[in-house]
Amino acid sequence: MKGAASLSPLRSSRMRALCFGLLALTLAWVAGRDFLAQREVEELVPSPGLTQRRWLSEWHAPLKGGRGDSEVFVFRGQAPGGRVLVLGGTHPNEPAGYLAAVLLVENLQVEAGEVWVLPRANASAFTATDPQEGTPQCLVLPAADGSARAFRVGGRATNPLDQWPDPEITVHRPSLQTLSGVEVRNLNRSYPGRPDGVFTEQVAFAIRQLVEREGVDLLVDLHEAAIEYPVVNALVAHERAGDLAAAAVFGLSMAGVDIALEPSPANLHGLSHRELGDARPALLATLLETANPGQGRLRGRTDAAQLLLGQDPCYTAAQGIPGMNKVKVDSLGLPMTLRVGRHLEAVRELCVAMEVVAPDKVVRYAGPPSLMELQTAGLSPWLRPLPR
Amino acid sequence: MAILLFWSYWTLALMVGLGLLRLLWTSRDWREQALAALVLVPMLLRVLLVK
Repeated sequence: MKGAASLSPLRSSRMRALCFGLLALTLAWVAGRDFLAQREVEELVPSPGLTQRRWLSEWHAPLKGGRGDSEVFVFRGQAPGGRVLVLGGTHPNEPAGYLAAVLLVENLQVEAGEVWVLPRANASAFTATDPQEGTPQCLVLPAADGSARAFRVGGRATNPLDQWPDPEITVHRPSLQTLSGVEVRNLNRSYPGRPDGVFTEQVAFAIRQLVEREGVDLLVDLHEAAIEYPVVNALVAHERAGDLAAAAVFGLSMAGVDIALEPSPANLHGLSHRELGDARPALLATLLETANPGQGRLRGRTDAAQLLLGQDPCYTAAQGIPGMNKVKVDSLGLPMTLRVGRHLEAVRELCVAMEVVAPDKVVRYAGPPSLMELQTAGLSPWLRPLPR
Repeated sequence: MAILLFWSYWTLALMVGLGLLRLLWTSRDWREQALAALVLVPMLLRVLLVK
């Protein structure tokens, strides 16, 4: 009797352990579905002008099948010309850069030369948002037929599940420049990359191989930056791309798009325009920045509406502090249509300027909307519905 | 050698996991058991399933 009485509390505690285990499993299953959904790659619907669909791993085989691999969309014109590579999603927390690349993929009709688009340059960084930033996981936009299209918003750097741990200090190769530890997962601090380097360096290496082996003539890396960041609404150009960029800035000014021309700093290593421009002497390397109120330290609540409308009362209030905002943020905000439109106008002007700077490298295309069309009709008419 | 073993992520995960399992299975305090389950189960799923 004494034995049976002492067994009962033990049995009940083990039953309780099983119940708690099942409860924890249920909670983990519910949370895990959201967590794993971040790894689903949304489908893009290329325009009929698509010539070829390739993968980044073709230029660096170890990426094949992994989360560093990413689709490359190739559009070739009938007439010969130059080769442009557009990078979107280097930093997936800068959604206008990604969405501009998406609109290129879904609308391009190339007439002369070739346009290559890598919309998710750092595919791994699309699978996780940055901790403590409170950014939404995706933006849902209506497509041309009214159906919903979801576009993932990721983090600035490679998912730590793919590259971990971060060092105390990042040492860039081969320059030996030192940066803060987290920059080891930043694709735009990892160029020119190494074939046997860490995950992000390998992605950078694959992009460099693409640029070198395919003979890319013009590189455009699409970004966004915080309102208080000095290099914003800017076109950054490698020194060899200075004439091209100046011509593009002139063209943009004529179209009413104010944009600053910034030289690529020679002593800041790891950036696409610096390292890829140095690696391939025939390449004209550029980078575009728009102003995103959803990124900086001053911002308020960050949700899908804020990213799409570009309205933030904190930045509007900061407008009264001299020198705080590098771009004017009024109550109308800086909507996604404006930011994507600026990118698309700038890519178009860079291609137009190619005809002036390198007439044998002409790249001519139609299809993607102008800034005015986007501001009038929004993004939807240029987003193709997903195939059923 | 012990330091080297402890340095390993997997060794650390195993030791913490076994500690939590023991707590869950042998404790008579429901709060300890709940805490152990809520930490142990997601940790096991992460280690075993998420690559």
